[in-house]
Amino acid sequence: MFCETGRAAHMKFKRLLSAALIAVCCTPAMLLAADDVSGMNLEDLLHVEVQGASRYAQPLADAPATATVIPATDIRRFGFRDIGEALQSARGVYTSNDRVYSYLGVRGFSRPGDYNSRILLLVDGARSNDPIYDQALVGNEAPIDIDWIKRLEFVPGPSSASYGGNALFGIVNAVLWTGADLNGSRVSVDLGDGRGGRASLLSGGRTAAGLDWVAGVSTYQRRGDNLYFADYDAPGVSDGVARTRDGERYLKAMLKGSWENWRGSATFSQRQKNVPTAYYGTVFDAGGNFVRDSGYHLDLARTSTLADSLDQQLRVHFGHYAYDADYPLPGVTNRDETRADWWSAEWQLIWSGWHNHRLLTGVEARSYQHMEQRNFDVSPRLDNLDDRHQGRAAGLFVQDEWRFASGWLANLGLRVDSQTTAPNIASPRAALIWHPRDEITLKLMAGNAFRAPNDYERHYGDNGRTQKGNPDLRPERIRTREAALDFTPTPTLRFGIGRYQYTLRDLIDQEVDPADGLLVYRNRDRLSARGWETDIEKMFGGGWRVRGSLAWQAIDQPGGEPVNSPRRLGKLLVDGPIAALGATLGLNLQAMGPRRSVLGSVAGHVTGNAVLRQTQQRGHGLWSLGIYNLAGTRYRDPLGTEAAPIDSLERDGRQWRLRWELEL
Amino acid sequence: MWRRRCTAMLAALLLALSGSCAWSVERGDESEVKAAVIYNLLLFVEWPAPKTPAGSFRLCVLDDGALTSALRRHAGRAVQGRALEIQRISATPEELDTCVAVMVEAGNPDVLPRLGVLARSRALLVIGEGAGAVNRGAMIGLRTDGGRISFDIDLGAMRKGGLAPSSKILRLARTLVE
Repeated sequence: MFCETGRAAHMKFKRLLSAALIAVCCTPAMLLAADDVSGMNLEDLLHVEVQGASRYAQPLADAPATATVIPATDIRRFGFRDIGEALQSARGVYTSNDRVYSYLGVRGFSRPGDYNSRILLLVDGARSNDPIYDQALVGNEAPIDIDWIKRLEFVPGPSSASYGGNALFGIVNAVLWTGADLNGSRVSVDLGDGRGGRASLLSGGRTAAGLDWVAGVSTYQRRGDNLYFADYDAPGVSDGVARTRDGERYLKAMLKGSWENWRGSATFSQRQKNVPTAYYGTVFDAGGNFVRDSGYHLDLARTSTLADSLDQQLRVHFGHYAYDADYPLPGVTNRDETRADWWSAEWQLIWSGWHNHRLLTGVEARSYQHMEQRNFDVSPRLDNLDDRHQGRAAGLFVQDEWRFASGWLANLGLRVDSQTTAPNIASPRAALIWHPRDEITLKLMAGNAFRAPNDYERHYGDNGRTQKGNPDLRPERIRTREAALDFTPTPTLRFGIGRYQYTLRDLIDQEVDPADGLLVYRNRDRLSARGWETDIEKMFGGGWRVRGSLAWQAIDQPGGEPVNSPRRLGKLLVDGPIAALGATLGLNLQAMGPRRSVLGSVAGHVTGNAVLRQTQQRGHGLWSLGIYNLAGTRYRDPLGTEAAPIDSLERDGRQWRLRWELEL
Repeated sequence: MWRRRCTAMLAALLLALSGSCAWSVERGDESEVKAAVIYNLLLFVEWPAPKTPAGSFRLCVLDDGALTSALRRHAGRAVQGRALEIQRISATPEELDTCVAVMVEAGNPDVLPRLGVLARSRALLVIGEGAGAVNRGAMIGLRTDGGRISFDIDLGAMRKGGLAPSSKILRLARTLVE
C-alpha cells in the first residue's frame, strides 16, 4: 500500500505520519518502569516481551507481517508428518510433491526447478538453507525432525531487511524444545502404509547446576508401493509399473544445550529417496535411481547485557551439506556429487534505552569455503562437471521499533548485503502497526527482498546432456506491499484479512534453450501478482476449535498463466476433545483450484485428513491413528520439464499412520 | 519510479523518527513477568467465602523453581484485603484445605490432574505453568506465546469449584475453555 498507488497513497501516508507525530507530542507520556514489572497492571504485563528463541525476540503481534504460529499441540492433534504439511495449515500456503522433494507454495508462487529457494528456513533462528541450491527442505528431507519442534513460526512476506537473501516469500522458524520443556523423555513409534515405519527418541532436562540439555534421534524407513505411470505404459517400453522404486529412509540426530547465556546446538540429517519417475531421461523401473541429502549444522550463540538496556548477541554457525544422486541412464549410471561447507558469524546489538524506541543493529558475515559440484559417468568414468568455487557474503542491518503513540508502532528496517555473486543490494522494510482498541490490529507493510543466483543455477551442467549453467544471472528482486487487519471481537473469535501485491524483477526461472534443448536458468521479465487472504478462528465450549481460511491469488506474467499456481485455496481445520474416547480429533480439509502444468493443467481438488489421538496416558503410552486423504481423492501435481514425458503426477491416495507415544 | 517513492517514504519516516517522546518498550525476565501476572490474576477472581486464617491469603506452591522464587517477591502484598502468603506444600488434601490457590510450575505437570480433581470439592484456584496446563487440570494456565506471556482459562473447572473470574480476565484470556 505504501508505494502502491503512486502519489495518492504516498500523500495519504505522509499525512498519516504527520498526524501520528502530532498525536505523540500531544499525548502525555506513558512511562512505565521497565525493570520493575511487579507494579504493572495485567494488560500491560501481557504486552511485556520476554526473551524467546526468535532472532529478535519480537512479539509476533508486533511483527511487520501477518505471522502464523503452529504449536506442537497442533502438530500432534492434526498428525502433521513433516514441516510442509504443518505449514499447509496456514492461510495461503500449499505444497506439492514430485516423489523426490516437497515444495512449498506461498502467495501463488511455486514453480518447477525451484527448491524452495525463495523461502528462508530457520532453526532456532539460524539459517539452514544450503548455499548451492538455496533449499529450504521441508519434507522428510528437512534438517530437523517434526517431533523436535515446539513451535513453528511462519512469517509470510519479504524479510531480507532482517535476514538477507532468500526471504522473498517468507521465513519459517522452527523453535525446538528446550530441556526444561521436556523434563524427561518421549519415545514414539509410527507405522504407516507402504511398509513405512519410524522411531524417535527425544530426551531433555535441566540439571541443578542450570545446564539445559536436549538430545534426540529419529529414524524412518519406507519400502514404498508399486506405482503405475501411464506415460511409460507402451508396448516395447514397459507395463508402466515402477516396482517398489519409491522407497525412502532417513536418520536425524540433535544435541542442544544452554548454560547461563550460552546456547549451542548440533543437528544432523541424512535422507535417501528412491526416484520412481525416471526423470532426466533415466531408465524407467530401474534400480539405483536415488537422491541423498545429508548435512549438519553447528550453532553457538551467546547473549549478554553490556549496559543498562543494551544487549548483544554473538552467533557462530558451521554448516555442511552433501547431495548425492545416481541417474541410471541407458547403458551407464551417471552421478551427481555436491558438497558445501560454510560458516557464518553474526553480531547484533539491541538498544532499548531511547524512550519509545528499540533499535537493533548488526553485521553478519558468511564464508562459503568450499562449494563443489561434480557430475560424472560411473563406469566407464567420464567427467562431465568438476566445478569448485568459494564465496563470501556480508550484511549490515539496522532496525527500529518505534512506539510513537499509545497503540501505534512503526517498524523500520534496512539491510545492505554484499556478495561475490551479485552487486550490493539494499533491502528496506517499513511497517505501521496500529492497535486502536485491544481487539483490533491494523498493519500496513512494504518491503523489498532479493536472492542472488546460486551456484547450481550459475554453474551446473552435465556436458550437454540435460542442463547447462548460466554464470551471467542477475539477482532476482521482489517488492511487496501489504495491508492486514486482525479483529478479535470476543476472546473466542478471531478474524483476519489481508491484501498483498508484489512485483518480481529478474526472476530466475528454469527453461529449455531452444537452440540446444538444454535446461538452463534465465532471468525473466518482471511479473506482478496480487491476492487476498482471509481467515477465521472460533473456539467453542468443550475445547473445540474451528479455523478456516480462503486465499485468492493471481500472477500476471508474460507468457500467460504460471505453472503450479492455484488461483484459489481453502482450508478448514476442526479439532477438539471427544471425552467418551479420552481422545482428541483433528480434521483438516484442504481445497485447491485448478493449476496449469507445463504442457496442460491439473484439476482442482479437495482432500481431508482425520487424526484421532488419545490424551490420557494409562501406563502404556498414547495411541493415535491418522487417515490421510480420507476419501482417497485422486489429484495431481504439475511436474517440471526434467520429468518429461510425465507432465503431472498423481499424489498418494488414502494413507494411514498408527502412532504410539510414551512420555517418561 | 517505485524506488523514488520508497526513498521519499523512508525519508519521511526517518524525519518523523527524530521526534522524541514517550514510553519505552518493556522487556522482562519470563518468571518475573509470570509472577506479576499471577499476582494480578488473584485480584480478579472471586472466592465464595474467606477460608484461610484472617489476614492472610495463602497461595501454595509445590515447587521451588524460578517462578516460585519470583512469586515470593510478591509475598506481603495485598490481595482482596489480605496479605499474600506463599507456602510450599506437598499436595496432601489436608494441606490443600489451607490454601486459597495453588501454583504448579512447568516442570511438575503430572500433579495437575490430581489437583484438578481435588479442587472440585474445594474453592481452590489451580494455576499451572505451560501451554498444556489447562488441558491437564489447571484452571488458569500461563504460557509464553510469541515472546509474551498469555494465559488460558478453564471456566467450567473454575465454576465447579465455586470460583468466579471477573469479566476482565475472561476478556484478556488467550483461550477460554468452557
